[in-house]
This record gives sequence, structure tokens and C-alpha cells, in this order.
Amino acid sequence: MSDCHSTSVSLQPVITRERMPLLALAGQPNVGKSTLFNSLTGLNQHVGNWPGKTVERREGSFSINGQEYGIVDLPGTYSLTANSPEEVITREYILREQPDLVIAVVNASNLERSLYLVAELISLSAPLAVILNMMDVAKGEGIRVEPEVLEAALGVPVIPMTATRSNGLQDFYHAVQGILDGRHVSTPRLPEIRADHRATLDEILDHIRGYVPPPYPESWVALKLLEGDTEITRTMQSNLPAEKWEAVYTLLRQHDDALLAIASGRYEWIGRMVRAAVVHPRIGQISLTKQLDRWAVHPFWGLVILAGILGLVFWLTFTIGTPVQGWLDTQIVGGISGLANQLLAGAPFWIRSLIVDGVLGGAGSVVTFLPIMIIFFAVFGLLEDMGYMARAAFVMDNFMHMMGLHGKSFLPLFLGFGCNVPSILGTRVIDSKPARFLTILIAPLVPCTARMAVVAFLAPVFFGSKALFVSWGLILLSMTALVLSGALLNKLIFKGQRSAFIMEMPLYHVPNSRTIGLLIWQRSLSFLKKAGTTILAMALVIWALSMLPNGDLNQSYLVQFGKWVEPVGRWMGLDWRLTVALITSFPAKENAVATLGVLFGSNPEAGLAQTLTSTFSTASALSFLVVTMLFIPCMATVAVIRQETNSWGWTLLNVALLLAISIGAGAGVYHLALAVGL
Amino acid sequence: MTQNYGRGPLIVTVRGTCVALGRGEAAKIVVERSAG
Repeated sequence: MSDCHSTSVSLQPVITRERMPLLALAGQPNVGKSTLFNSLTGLNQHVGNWPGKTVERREGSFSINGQEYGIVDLPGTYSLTANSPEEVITREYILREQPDLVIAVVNASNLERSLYLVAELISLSAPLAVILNMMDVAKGEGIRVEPEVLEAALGVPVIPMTATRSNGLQDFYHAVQGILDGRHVSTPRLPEIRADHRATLDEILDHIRGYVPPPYPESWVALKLLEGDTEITRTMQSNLPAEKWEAVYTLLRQHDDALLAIASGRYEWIGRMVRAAVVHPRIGQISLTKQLDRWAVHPFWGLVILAGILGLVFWLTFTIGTPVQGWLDTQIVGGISGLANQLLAGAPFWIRSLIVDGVLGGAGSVVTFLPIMIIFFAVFGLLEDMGYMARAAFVMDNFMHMMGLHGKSFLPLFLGFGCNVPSILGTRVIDSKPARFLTILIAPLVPCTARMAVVAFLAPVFFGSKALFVSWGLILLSMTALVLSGALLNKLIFKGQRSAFIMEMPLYHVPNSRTIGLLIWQRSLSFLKKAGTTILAMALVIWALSMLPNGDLNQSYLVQFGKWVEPVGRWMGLDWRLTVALITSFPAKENAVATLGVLFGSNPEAGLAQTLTSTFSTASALSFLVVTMLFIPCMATVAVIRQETNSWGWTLLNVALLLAISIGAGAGVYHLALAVGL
Repeated sequence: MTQNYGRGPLIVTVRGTCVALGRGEAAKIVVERSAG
């Protein structure tokens, strides 16, 4: 190996390719990769999962001067060693799909850390360009980076950019065209392993030469073997003849500390780049992030700030979201229902009922919850994009330890206040499988907006002026159930295992409205799709059960089923109607109110509140609200739990757990309320 | 070491990056001055 050897990569023009040129965006987490992807593709993007993995896959397209380009946003990774699914996906994609250009996004304000992945990417055969993103954050932190110097040092094109403000996009377009037209010829300068292990690396390379399966480059495989990469080790063990593998294995055993030599070589390379291209601020200068973090991650003030933010989210939800939801429900859904009733006046009863009660009363009323969802999506998107969520996780770490979890689990649980579905999906940020599964098991205990909407309607009906205290008491009860269940499950199922808490604290930066807007758009669209498919289908099933066999509700299958399960409801002071209302909340929690409306007659707006107050005792009402708060997750949440755990066993355990908790808590509260004379 | 209040997680700065670290994890890490 030569010192700091250079490898010329002549990039061939892509005009001979039949498909559009393909770009792959790679980068570490928190470098603004997704912001750039959103800026480039706008709404021309598709979000899915990588095959067989629960890792998000985003693809899109954009055009420059009429030429269409495909782009894939690879998962955020710190390196290309097979430690996580994200790392395997990234390297396998680059090696197997062979994109026309790999774009490494790095954080200009933290080049030393960001360049580690570049040190690995540059060693692959794919053409590479580097985007020096977050130039504004670097400037704000007093760091000066010289892109031309970095380009000369790396030997690949470097484009400075502030993706949040779309600064640098024109230079990027120009560079992409130049690279793909073959006008740019890169001469990458590769990192190399520390001197004391170079001979070993060469020896391994000699042993594996001719046995490396495509598309892996031989020198890269030799390095990965020495690094202790499990996937590559497995691959080579099955591809090498026994005596060759024995020789390689002996070398690997003798040099089990080689990872340090490889990492040192990379850091040495990074050090050279940083010394050449970065001017750091003078010592003693305090950055904006450090100033803000004096408060945001303080053990006391950090909690006060987080409580303030949570309070603000609820305030926004109840002062803006709930009235808008109510307006949509009465004016839009109610108006359309009235119109449908008039238009279908001459139609058979069952058709009118299907449209008004089934479609509009079921799925239609669920759609009205969109404004509340949007508020949550916007606030979470904003907090995440500006870098605050990592601070929230940090200050909640002590609290989460009560359940054997750590701060990272707080992030998805927090999302659960909006909707349990993104909450379950959000558990992907947790690295440890036991911690992730435990978080999934307890996440449905966080009261979502749909459950809070049921409480917001029923608490004033039953408790009048004391409704606010009852509502807060119910939230407190849910949180207590969450902590106790978490602690118990951790002890019983996960045997008190504790997962490691290591989390990067990104620098604060100005949030990007486009990124937040796209996040709201994608999640809202997904919610509406769900309302128009699964929720609509389930609402129609419930409607059919309430109509069959002869159109009389009192003789319907739904009522018969309610009466069959009534004995269980009795433990909690619930009659068959409240029990049926609970069961029908499975497709969507809001259905509980709609079902009570159907069961208590056709005038739910004016008469339901009075009817409910006169029918049920305070003890039964309180029990019903408690069970509603803790009842089994809704259908969509169950589906997502199945998808994320990839196991019916865990999914059914989750449902059984919440069923047991809700019945236990409901029965306990009911008998306690009776004992104190309620 | 960037922040350590004696209990709960702490914050360290490694190569310019702030990293939150659980106390248990921090206890397992040994920092040595590099020979170079």
C-alpha cells in the first residue's frame, strides 16, 4: 500500500443507461439529510420500508434542466460495519444497486464526527460527492470551513450548502450534472490502516483473493474481516476453502485488536482533512447550543421546560384543535348527514342507515380528528427538527429508569399523546430489542387524542363542573398504570435487563418549514387513508352487526353479543350498553360515543347527555371512563404492533395485558366508588 | 466531561460531538491519553 494512496475513478457518462440516473443520499443521523431530500423531491417522494426490515425507505425524483434523476434517502448511519440494520442496508444498497452517484451529507459544524462515514464510503467503488451541509449552523458556532480546501484534501467534489434555506442547491445541480456527464474526474484520497497492521491486512487480502463473491471489492472485504464485521466474516467463512479460512481465522484471532488500528487510521485521515479545511472558534467562546443547553438539560430546569412544552401542546390541542374538531363534526359531518338524509328520503331504510350511520357516523366522525392530529404532528415535527427532542429524552432518563427503560423510550411514548400508531412506529429509535418491545407493550397506555375526546365529551356529562379534575385524574391514572406495568413487565418478562443509553445531542438549528410541512402532509395522508380503508370497513361491519338480522337494533347481533359479555361488564358496574360501547371502540376509540348515541336513540345531540346522566350511577360512569382510558389498543394500533414486533404472540400479549389492566382498574374503581358512597 | 450533576445521565463531548451517556455506561468507559 502506498502512503495515502490515490485511486482514480473515471465517472462514465450515464446517457447509455436505460433508466434515469440514480443518486443515493448517505449520511450520519442529524446532518440534515432528510431536509435535503425533501428540498430536492418535494411531494415527488414515496415512503415505505426496506424489504424485510422495519427501517423507513424514502425514494423520490427531481429534475435538472429537463433531465429526471431518481434519488434514494439511505438510512442514517455512523459507519458501514454490520452493527445495525441501517448500516447493512446502506452498504448493501451501494454495493448491489450501484447508484450512479453516492452523495455523502456531512455536518459542517461537526466535520470531525461526520467524516467518519465518508472515510468508509470513499473506500467503496461507487462515485462519491460530499455535501457540506449546515454551513449556517457552523457559522453560528463560530466555525469556518473552506469547501475548496476540503475538496482538494478529499479528492472528491465538495458542495457547501444550507439545506434548511435551500442555499447551495444550484451548485449541487451543477455539480451533479458535471459528475454524471464525466466532466469531473475524482481522485479520492483514501484512509489507510495504522502501520502496525498493514502487513496483516495484505496477508488476509492474499488469502481471500479470488474467493470474494461479487459485488464486494476484495480490499474492502479484507478490511471488514480485520474489523470483525460479523456479516462479512460469515460470508467469507462459507466462501473460502477450509484451509484458507483456517489461515484467515488464525490471523484474525492474533489481531483481534485490529479494529483500533483501522479506526485510528481513519481518525488520522479525518484529522488531516479537518486541520486543512476547518478554523475553530477561539477558546472560551460559548456557542448558542451550549448557552441553551445550560437550561434545557439541567436536571431541574430541563424538566420545567419540558413540562411547559407539554402544557403548551395540550393548550393548543384543547383551545384550537378540539373546537375545530367539534365544528367539523357538527357542521361538516352533521351537515352532510342531514343532506344525505334528505336526498335518501325515498330510498330503503337500510341504504339511508348505511350512508348516515355507517359511513358518515363511523369513518366520517373519525376524520374530524384530523385538526388535533395536525397540531401534534406540527409541534413534534418542530421540536424534532430544531434538535430539542434529544434534550427531552435526556431529562426524562431518570423517570424512564423506573421501568428499566431509558430516555430514548420517552420520545415514542410522548408521541402517543397524539396517536398510538406513530408512537409504536417511533419505537424504532430504540436500539435494544427488549427495551423496544417493552416500550411497545406500554405505549398504548398513553392516552391518545381519540380517548381524550371521549373523556372530553363524557366527563362533563357525568361530572359537570368537576370534569376537569376527573380528566386530569384519569391521565394521572393512565401514567401510573404505565409506570407500574413497565416496572412489572421489565421484572417478569425482561428479567430486569437494562439497555445502554447513548445518544447524540444534535446542535440546535432553525427548523425548516418544508420538512415540517411534508411531515404533517405525509402523516395526515396516512391517517386519512386509514380512515378511508380499515376504519371505514370496520365501521361498516359494526353497522351491519347493529342492523342484522332484521333491522331492529334491540334484536341485532351486536346487542346479543353485548348481552353475552355483560357478566364481565358487571364486575365494573357496566351494563350491556356500556359494554357494547367499549367493544365498538376497538376500530376507533371515538366510536364509544357514537355507539352510545345509537343505543340510546336517534337524538344523540340533545338527549344523550341527559339520558346518560339519568341512566348510570356516578360509580358506573367513573368506571366506564377508567376502562375507556386503559382499554385494549384500537385496531390500527394492534395492526402496527403486529407489524413492528413481527409476532402475533407479542401482539396478543399486548392486547391481553391492556384488557387485564382495564378490567382490573375498572372493577377496582367501581367498588371503591361504591364504598365511598358515589 | 460537559455535564455531570452527580446523579442521572451525563453529557460528554467526543471529537466535537455532545453525547448523552447513562451513568452505568459511563462507569464502564476508561479514557486514556493517546500516546501521540
